[in-house]
Amino acid sequence: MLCLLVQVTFAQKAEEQDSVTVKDRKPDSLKVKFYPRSFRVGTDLLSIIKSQTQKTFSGWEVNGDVDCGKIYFSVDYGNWGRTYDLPNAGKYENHGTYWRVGGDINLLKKDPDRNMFFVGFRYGRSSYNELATIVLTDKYFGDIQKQISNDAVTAGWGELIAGIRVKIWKEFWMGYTARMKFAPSVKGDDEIKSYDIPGYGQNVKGFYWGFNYQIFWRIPFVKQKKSTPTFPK
Amino acid sequence: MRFFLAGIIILLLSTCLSEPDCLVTATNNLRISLKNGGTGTAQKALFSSIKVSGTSATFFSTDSVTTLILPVDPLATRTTFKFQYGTVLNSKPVVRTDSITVTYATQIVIISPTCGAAIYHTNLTVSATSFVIEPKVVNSQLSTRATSNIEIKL
Repeated sequence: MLCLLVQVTFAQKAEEQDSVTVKDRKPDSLKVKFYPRSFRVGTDLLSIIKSQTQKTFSGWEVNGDVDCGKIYFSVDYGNWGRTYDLPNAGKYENHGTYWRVGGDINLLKKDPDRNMFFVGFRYGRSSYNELATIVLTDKYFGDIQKQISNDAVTAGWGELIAGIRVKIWKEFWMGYTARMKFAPSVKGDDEIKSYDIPGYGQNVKGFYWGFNYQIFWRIPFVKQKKSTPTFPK
Repeated sequence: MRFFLAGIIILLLSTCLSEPDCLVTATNNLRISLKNGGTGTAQKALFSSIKVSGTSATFFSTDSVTTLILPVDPLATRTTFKFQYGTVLNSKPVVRTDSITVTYATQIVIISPTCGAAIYHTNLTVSATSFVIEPKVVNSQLSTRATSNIEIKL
């Protein structure tokens, strides 16, 4: 009985050793490796068009991103100025610069040209000044005309973004970005509550939406290997 | 995917349809409630003269009132009010002269290019007074929606 028990035990162990558990694992050749493949530099066409066509806006924006496989690291820098006429010959104007940094995830994993449909996040900051001429009329204190300025205002905010980048020709790319901006935090607006934040938009509660249409030029770090077809012998 | 993109575009365009309303709650009117110093109930008084610093206008009431609405200087940070008034306290007629100085923070806010700007007054405090009982700030922001900013006990 004891010999039978021992034999059954060894038989079970041998059976365990013979059977091989196959784990589902991607081979290294199919994993997207994380390293910088290219750098793209571009600009926002809408800012340039608005500067030429709208009297209330002047500005430009430069965009850059680094392709690291699935993830793209992005930096934007811009210049922005707004001028508004207020009632009773009043005026508001602001001028400043801003930058954004963040990352995007490309949801198109298998596109050979590395076209993108992406979602991402940005953190933005702005430094600017504001000047306003206010004209009000009070029944007892008469006409009130005052020029007030915020000389050194800073603001920060977050953005959730989505967009596309499409290869048009060789290294020339085009795309657009939709931005849901939130949580603006402003410091230095003591004289007048900050009205317009460069890079963000109006300083209001809730979400603020933005849209860019961009052109890019891609500078590859490594040459992409062209896949040559192989025919069976 | 197409519906998702269409949804984003519709959301973006919908924000373009909303225009800011010119609903402004800012005011430079200070609302003063008069109370009986003993019972705390509303107290009537007849004001023959109220002078406000920063303006040559003199205010008065044609009848006994329990509430005063007086303007503060919109571009200053303090305003002084001098009252000449008559009231009945403990069944005896009383004629008095008193003053109160209020201080406040002033911030200019642009509502929109169409609506223009408005001046908001906040952090209201009583910095000086000759009233026997110190007036009490019940609402430190001057607003069209405020029912009372300061209670004065006579």
